Amino acid sequence: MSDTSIQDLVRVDEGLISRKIFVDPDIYRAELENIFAKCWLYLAHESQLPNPGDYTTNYMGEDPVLIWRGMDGEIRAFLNSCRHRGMRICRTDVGNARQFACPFHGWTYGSNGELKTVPSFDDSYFGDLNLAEWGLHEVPRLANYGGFIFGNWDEDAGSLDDYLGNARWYLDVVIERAIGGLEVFPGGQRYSVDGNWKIASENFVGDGYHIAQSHGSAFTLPARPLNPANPFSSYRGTLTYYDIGLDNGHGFSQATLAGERIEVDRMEAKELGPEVVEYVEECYARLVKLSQAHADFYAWTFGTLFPNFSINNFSALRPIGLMLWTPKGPGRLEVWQWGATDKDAPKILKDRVRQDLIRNQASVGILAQDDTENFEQVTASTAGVIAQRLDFNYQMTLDRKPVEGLDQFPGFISTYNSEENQRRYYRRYAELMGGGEGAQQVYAGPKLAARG
Amino acid sequence: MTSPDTQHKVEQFLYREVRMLAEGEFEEWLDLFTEDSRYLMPIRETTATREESERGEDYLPHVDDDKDFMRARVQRLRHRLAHAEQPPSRLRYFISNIEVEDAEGGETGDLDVRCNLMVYQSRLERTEKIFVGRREDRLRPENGSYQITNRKVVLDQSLLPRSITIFF
Repeated sequence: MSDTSIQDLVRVDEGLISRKIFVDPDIYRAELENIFAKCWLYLAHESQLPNPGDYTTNYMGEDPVLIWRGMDGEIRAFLNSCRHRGMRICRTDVGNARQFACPFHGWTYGSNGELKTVPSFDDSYFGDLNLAEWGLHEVPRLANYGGFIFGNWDEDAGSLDDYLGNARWYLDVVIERAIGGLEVFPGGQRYSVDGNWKIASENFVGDGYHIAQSHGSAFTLPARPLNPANPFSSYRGTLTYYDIGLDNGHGFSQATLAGERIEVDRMEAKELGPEVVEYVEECYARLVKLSQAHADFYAWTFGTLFPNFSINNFSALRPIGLMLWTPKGPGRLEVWQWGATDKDAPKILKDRVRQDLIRNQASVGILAQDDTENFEQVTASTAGVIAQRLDFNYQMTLDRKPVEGLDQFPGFISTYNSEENQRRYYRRYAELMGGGEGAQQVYAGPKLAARG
Repeated sequence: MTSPDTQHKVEQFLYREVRMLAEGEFEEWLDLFTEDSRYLMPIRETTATREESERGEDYLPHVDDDKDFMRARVQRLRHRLAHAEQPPSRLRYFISNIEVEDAEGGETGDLDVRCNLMVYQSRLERTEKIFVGRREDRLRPENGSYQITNRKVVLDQSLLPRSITIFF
């Protein structure tokens, strides 16, 4: 990585980060090694794979993976590449299969990854091939938190629970609030962005600051429904926002902590009828059962789980947007996006949530459109040698202490707007990129919901 | 088979329509849609069969707009902060393979029109993107021309080359 160390480039304590990390090909290679081959990465939601044989595909870093529920019912993930000559064994996005025969020479793998047969085993190999050694390369660590399936290439990595750390306290809100459990809408949107993957990830970890300027056109539309994120809404003044910096670089942004959001949902539910009013109250009661703090929190707005998985959720009446910022070189990323909702939400709400999702933060959504322009032009204007001598400024709220009196909420609570979440994100980034293990922070704080 | 006269009228209508889009006449373009019209763009996935690849309505689509939200999109683009299309992209629309049939199950005179579509987007210095697919429209005769009561845009790409900031 040339002659400068990552500590010189990422000077979080000064709120300065070199632009180089967003464009340099050597740094990008090091990210694939030190971050994408070491961290827990989001793969799929279990609702996408209900039956034995169901599979879907994704990437971990630049490595294609197949996520497959075996005929034995167990979910596994494999490098999507034949062990013989590397052909992609599964070339569809989603489906159901008992086995895959490689299109190139016909090596055939079972749903537990074992190499079952190779053509001409007797005639060409003379039986001299140990099939047991040549099964699909399995992602060694796979774990599920409340239906969200993550994988890790690093056999020695700590547990997913420890990796998520105190972010679990907040994730429990969307997981436990759903009466019938979460369900991902079938189908995923995908679009390419000519931008660095970190620009998108850090935008969602805590950049509430861009909303008024970047999304001003969207939020001033008269047709736009009530939305707690809308900086121009009439009741915006009644909400107090915070950013929540969490373990291991995770962060959630634009959260309310004094029970304001349930009031917004109650207002909105009235317009949608008694069925929805009742639904909102049931969601709220489920959170109260978890703890009054969970109920007061109720939802965040946007957030990122380090390194590249962002989750949006405004309220029980709003979509849960799942966005993966998949790296494709220093100057390109692909957005793989899904939407989720409560399986038992009333039909009227499910339809509304689906529409809300695709019209806003999605491939043709009026928020993602402007974000894309930002992500692309930040990256393009940083390509030159002069730009790369300069730093980006992350100094907002640099010397501010966490807000006091909110001990019932885990994490570092900042006033809003703040860049504390971004600094925490890059602190974790620098620890991992520095080659050191960057000891994973393990959560000890207010009670979490029991989850396997 | 529709008459050569109808075929000609439909073609002229479609050419004028895409010219409005290329030239940014979005308000005039909106007027071509009936108040109850629907604009749908399904996602494409790579699946074992051709039929499955074009995902139906139970899947998450790219777009599912009514006239109100189409209007909102146009209104947004006119806002001074709509950076996604300010400055505007330079656009070139190509439509071909226009097939016109009497609509089944529609009102008398309704037509089902299919065409192929290719859109070239040139943006700022060097952003160049191409979107390719087909459109399926239902047209209703109106004052000697037509109005669109239903539009489905089926792109061929499962990975969009960019977030879509323009209309098809």
